[in-house]
Amino acid sequence: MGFLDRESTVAKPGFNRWMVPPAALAIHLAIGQAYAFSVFNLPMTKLIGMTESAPEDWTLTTLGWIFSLAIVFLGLSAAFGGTWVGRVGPRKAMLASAVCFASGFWISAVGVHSHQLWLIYLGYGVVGGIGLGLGYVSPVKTLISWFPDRPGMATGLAIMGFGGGAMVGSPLAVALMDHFKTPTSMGVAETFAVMGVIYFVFMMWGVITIRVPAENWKPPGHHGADDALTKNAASSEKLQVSVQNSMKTPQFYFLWLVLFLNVTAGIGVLGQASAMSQEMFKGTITAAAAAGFVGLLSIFNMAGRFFWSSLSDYTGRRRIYMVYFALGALLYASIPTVGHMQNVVLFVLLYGVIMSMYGAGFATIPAYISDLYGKADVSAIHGRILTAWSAAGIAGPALVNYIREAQIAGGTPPAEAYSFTMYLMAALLAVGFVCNFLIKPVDPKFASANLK
Amino acid sequence: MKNIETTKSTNPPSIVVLIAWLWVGFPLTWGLWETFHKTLELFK
Repeated sequence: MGFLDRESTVAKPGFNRWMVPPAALAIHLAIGQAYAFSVFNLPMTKLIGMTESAPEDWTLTTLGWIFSLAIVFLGLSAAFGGTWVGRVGPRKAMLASAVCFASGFWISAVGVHSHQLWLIYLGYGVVGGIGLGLGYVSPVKTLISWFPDRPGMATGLAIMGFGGGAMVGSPLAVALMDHFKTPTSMGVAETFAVMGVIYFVFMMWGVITIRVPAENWKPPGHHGADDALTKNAASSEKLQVSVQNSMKTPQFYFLWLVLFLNVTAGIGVLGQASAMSQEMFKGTITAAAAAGFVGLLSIFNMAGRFFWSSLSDYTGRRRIYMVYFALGALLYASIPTVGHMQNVVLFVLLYGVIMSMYGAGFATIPAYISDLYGKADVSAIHGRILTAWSAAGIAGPALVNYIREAQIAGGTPPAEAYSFTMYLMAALLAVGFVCNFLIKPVDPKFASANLK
Repeated sequence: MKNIETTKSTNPPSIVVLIAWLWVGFPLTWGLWETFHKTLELFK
């Protein structure tokens, strides 16, 4: 029995389960750095020219593919690696994630140093992206097992870390680049190399301290059934459905659409938050203030992951998604009116609540999957549902940009074009509401007897 | 005697649990602080 095997991670009696969320956070806080990758884009367009881009320098368009590749490989590795993660347990999966994520930085450091973009695509995009996907799903089942009474809170806490990862990754990268910058170097290669080391060490805490509960372990004062489950769930508590069977149920596709529509709408408005605030409040919101606005939205996004997901333990998953979609659609549709009223405070507040529910959509989905299909194959099912994220990552910005360009080309003023986008996103959320409404308990005939 | 000590002590010791939360809490707080500073621009 090796250190990395699942058997080695089984907790001894009396283990304090509050050790587990920090182990999960060590992974999610690290991989959440992905959303701060754009901080490298501008310096990487001046690696040769230094003060301004030289003809041989990379363009922003070509650099944009690094992040896109990482998100695509996040979805693919979560989808194809989820079953493996469930089988080998959290420690081995977390180590694989740490090795891939750190190696992604190191390969990219070589790519920057030798000025070969394909190495960065391979490094951060492919290898790092695989680390993101494996890391994202690795602690979920463990958290649900340790907190059967509060699965929404437990997974919300970890996925909140993913939201917070960008807040740590961005200033860290800026500080390191400032430190390593010389008259002949932007300091990007050195920053990549050091960040690889920092994140590897940081994630190793999670690898070492993660524990799974012993079979039949229950939290103190917890009797038999999973409280949150019996109170709220659409499904029978004992039902355990395999990933293969889950894909034969309509609930799987409705859940996929629920995540896809929530993320498409969120990404659609998040991407244009800065420009939109400046267009709608000309003279009131400056470029610097808009950057502050985006920072504030990231705090709402992060807090929402914990708040709404924790609340779902009391309301039930289906009901909380009703709120995300109904309240979300209402708020999206209100933004143009608030813009016309020129009420900055209300605009910021509404946008903040929208972003909190966008993040919550990610955070609540693992507990929703567990409610419907049981926790046995939750890693694998979650991994496959996460392909909705990759799809939304492509569809969201494409949809928003295409419609906006078409509208402006048709003579619509830019500020009005934003209004149409918001109404469209509200409509998407209305469709999401219907998809969520159609999610019913899974037919027991899909249960797999040998799963636990 | 040894058994009594085992049952009385927490598993793992409280200090390890504290370190675990500080390990993730410190960078998260730093990130939040940096972001919060940026958001102040909005209210200037």
